[in-house]
Amino acid sequence: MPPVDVAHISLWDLFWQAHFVVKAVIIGLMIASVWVWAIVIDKTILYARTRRQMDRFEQVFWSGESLEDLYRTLSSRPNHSMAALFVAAMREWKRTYEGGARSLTGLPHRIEKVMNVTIAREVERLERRLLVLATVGSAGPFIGLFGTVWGIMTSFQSIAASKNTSLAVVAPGIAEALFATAIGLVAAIPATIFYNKFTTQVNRLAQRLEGFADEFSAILSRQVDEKM
Amino acid sequence: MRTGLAISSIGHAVVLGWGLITFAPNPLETPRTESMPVDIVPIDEITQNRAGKRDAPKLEEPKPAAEKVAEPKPRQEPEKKAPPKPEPKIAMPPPPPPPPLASELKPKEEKPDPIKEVLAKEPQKKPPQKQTPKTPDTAKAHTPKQRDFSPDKIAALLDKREPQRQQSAAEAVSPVTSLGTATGNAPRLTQSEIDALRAQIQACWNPPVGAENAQELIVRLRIQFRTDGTLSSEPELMNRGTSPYFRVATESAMRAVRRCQPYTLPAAKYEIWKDVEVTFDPRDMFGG
Repeated sequence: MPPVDVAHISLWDLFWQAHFVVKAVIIGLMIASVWVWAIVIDKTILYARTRRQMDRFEQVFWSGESLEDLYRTLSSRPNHSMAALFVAAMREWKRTYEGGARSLTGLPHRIEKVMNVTIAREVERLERRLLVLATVGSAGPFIGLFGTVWGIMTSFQSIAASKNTSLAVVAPGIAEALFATAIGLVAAIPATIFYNKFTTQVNRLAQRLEGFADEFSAILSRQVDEKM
Repeated sequence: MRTGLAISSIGHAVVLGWGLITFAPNPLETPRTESMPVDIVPIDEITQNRAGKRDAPKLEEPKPAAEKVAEPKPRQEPEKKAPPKPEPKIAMPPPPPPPPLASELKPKEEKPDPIKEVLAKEPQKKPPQKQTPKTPDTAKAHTPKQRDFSPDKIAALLDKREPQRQQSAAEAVSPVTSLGTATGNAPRLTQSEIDALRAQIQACWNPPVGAENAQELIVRLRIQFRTDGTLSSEPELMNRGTSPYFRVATESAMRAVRRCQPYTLPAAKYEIWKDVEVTFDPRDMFGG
């Protein structure tokens, strides 16, 4: 029995000896994994910041501060969802007043419309790139499996070529093939987990925005009724 | 997004570098082992020899072991007790003949005397005592024995050497090795018995010599035997062959089976070999 060439089973050689297709699969999955984690880190930071800013804004909003003052400070840079919502509503309100409209009957309706549009835009901003996570989570294992199947095919071909079924001939091919599935799972598992986590978080934030929008439109419509 | 991408790339690079470093020095190294020759030895004869052999030699070793256990304790006591027992027996005769005047004389003369006295006293017991005079003639010991049968002495006469049996039963549990039950037969032909049948058939078989493609000339015959080892029916061909020589091979195999009967096979396992299939392979005959 010839001595097994032990030196050629390092991670790098595993990749380097692989077939072209398997290499492509591995590289693609690697990039997908990098991208998935980039999105995960980005979204984690974004959601945490959004929640923090919402807390701060609600605190300021309900503290009794004049809405005019609040609008003046925020209108220059509506940097987060709830502020954008508030600014959009207030702008509509002010435009109606400062434009000297004769009737205020359509105002609550318009404000509601504006706020809905803003909510939709904000939620879209929060949800952006989550689809990448979903795609990698569902397709990653299949891509890895494809690499594995291809690798096993080539390793069987090498068995046929060498007419030798000893483990030394079979093992590297199968190892490199399984490496593809492993990377596929490594990319897919966090993607799936974080996709589920983030969708629930986005839903919660959107609900919170809608709640604030309802309350704010109630306040504005009360003021409209008082002015009429 | 840029920070996330940077952190993610750095993290992956770190993990990959760590994998390259730690994975490389741990190659899948299998220790080189010396090749070990393995002989497959059929141990059927040892493991399946459950039907008892009638001619198996009886193992007598355990018995002496049981006696040795028993001897030391009981025999010392009886030996001490035994001397006292005979003494009373010997001592007994003297008391019954209280008149020791005629000690030198023969007991014949002494014994009639008390009997006659008894006869004289009680005339009713004539018939039983007529017998007694006859017995003294034959042997001296009889009369003293009659007197030993008094209820008090029976206890002394009893053999009290019980421990001998108890010890042997307690120390060695079933010292005699079992030779198997008569009905417990292992229902398989052992390798050596298969070999025996194979050898018997092979002796009569002229394989088709010089036929090309010998692997196509494998013939499987179903053979049914009577208890005496002769064929109970014609061998039955179990497979088909495409080779033009297959017919020749079949004929030769059937001839071999017919010619070699009766076969000597273990009668106890008739149920197993009464219907067997034998493969005739010109390269290497295999029976079974």
